[in-house]
Amino acid sequence: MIENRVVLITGSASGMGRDTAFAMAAAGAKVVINDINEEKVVQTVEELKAQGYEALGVVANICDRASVEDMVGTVTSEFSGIDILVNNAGMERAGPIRNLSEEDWDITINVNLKGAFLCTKAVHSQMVKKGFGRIINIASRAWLGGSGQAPYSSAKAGMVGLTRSIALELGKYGVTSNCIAPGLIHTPMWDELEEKTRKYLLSKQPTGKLGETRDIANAVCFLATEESSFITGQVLYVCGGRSLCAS
Amino acid sequence: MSGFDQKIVLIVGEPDEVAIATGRKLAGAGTVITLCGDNGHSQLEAASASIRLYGNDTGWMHSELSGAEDARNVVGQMTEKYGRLDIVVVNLAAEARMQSRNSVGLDQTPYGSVSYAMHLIEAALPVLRANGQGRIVVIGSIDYLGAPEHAGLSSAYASLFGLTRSLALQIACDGVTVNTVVKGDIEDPAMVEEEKAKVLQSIPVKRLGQAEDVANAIGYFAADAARYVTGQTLFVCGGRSMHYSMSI
Repeated sequence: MIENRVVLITGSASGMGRDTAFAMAAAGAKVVINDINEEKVVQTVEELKAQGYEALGVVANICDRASVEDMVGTVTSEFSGIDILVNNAGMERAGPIRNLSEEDWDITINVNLKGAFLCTKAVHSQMVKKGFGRIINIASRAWLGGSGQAPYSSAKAGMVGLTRSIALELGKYGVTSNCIAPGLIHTPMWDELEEKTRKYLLSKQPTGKLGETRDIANAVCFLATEESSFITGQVLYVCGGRSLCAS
Repeated sequence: MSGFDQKIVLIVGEPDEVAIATGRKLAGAGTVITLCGDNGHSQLEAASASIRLYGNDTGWMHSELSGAEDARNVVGQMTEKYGRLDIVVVNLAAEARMQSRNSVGLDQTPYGSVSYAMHLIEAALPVLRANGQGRIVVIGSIDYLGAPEHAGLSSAYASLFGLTRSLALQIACDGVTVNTVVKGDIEDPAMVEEEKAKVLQSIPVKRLGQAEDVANAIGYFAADAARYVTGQTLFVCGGRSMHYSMSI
C-alpha cells in the first residue's frame, strides 16, 4: 500500500511520469509533480486536484544542486517528508558517435544520471532517519547498449550502477533502491517516429505490441509498497520480453 | 490487488511456506486455488485448509510430479473441474532440493523436477493460451548462480532460468507471460543463531526474507498489472544477488 505516502516524481508533468503520478495518486499517495516547464506543472497539479487527489507542483532543474535542495525543502515543509522518490526525468540525444557533440553527451548524462544522483542525495537522509524509503529509478532497456545511443545508454547504465550502490549502502536502513527498465512504450515520442521506424521496432518485439505508460506505473507502484521491502538493487524490465532477444 | 476475481490458480510442488503464502495472497485477492503435490493427503489438506481461511475454497490434488502423462492428468483435472486455468505457479525448486539431498555428484542432478516443470507447462499452455492472458510464475532459488557443493542443484535451477526465458519468447504473442521469482534466504526456524548471523552478513537489508516477500512478487507477476513483463527473473533476496555476476 502506498496510501498517504509522499512521492516525488521527477519529470512528471508529461508522458510516463505524469501517468505514474496519476496511478500513484489513485492508489492514495500524495504526489509531487516536478518539471522545468512551469505551465505543464501547474496544469498537471490542477488536473490531479480536480480529481480529488492531493498534489503539489515544484518547478526545479534536477541538474542543479541548489534547485534540487530547494525543491526537497519545499516538499518537506508542505508534506512533512518524502517517502518515495521516482527518478523519472530523462531525455535522449541520439545519433552515430561521429555526429554526437560534447554537449549532447553532457546534457544526456546530466538530465538522466546527474539528476538522479542529486535527487537521491537530497532525499536519502530523511528516508534513513524514518527507516523507510523507496528509490525507484526509471532506466531503460537501452542500458544494455544501442547503436546510436552512446550517451543515453551510458547514462542509463550509470543509473543501474547508482541503483545498486545505493541499495547496498541504504539497505540496512529500510531504504530500497530499484530500477525499472522500460522497453517500447506508447508515448508521444513514439507517435512522432517515422512509420518505417515504428514497423521495424515492432518487428523486434516478442509480444508484437507496445507497452502502455500504465505498465510502467504498475511496476513503480509495486516497487513502492511495503510489500517489496525484500527487493532491492534489482532491475525490473518492463519490455514485453524485448530484453531477452537479439536486437 | 485487482483483476484476480475467480481466476483459477494451480500451485504445483511442495506445499511449503512459500506455496502457502502465495495461496493466501492470491486467495485473498479472489482467486480459486488448487495445490498439487506428491505429499500425503493429510499434508496437502492441512496446507489447503490454512489457505482457505484467507479466501475462496481451496482444493488439492495428489500427483507423483513425474512424467508427461501425470502432468497432462493434473491439467486435465483442473479443466474438468473449473473449465479453465489462468495462473500456474511452479514451486518445484523445493522438490529439486529434496531430490538432491543425498547427492554427492553431478550424476544425481535433480533434473526430474525440471523435466516435470516442462511437462506441466507443456500440458497447461493450450489452456492458458485459450484465455489470452495466462500467467506462469516459476519459483527459483538464488543457488542457480552457483553454490559450493551444490553443483547439481545449481544446474537444475539454472535450467529453470533458461526455461523461463525461452518459453517467454515462444509464447509472448499469445498474451501468456512467464517469469521467475528467485527467492533468497527465507527465515527458517531450524536455522541456528550462528548460521543466521553469517547469512545476514551477505544480505544488504540485514534481515532474512519471509515467505510473504516471495508471495508478494508472485502476486505482481500473476496480476493483469504485469501483462508487459515476461521472461524476467526477479530476485527477492534483500539485495544479496548484487554480490553475484549474472544476476542482472
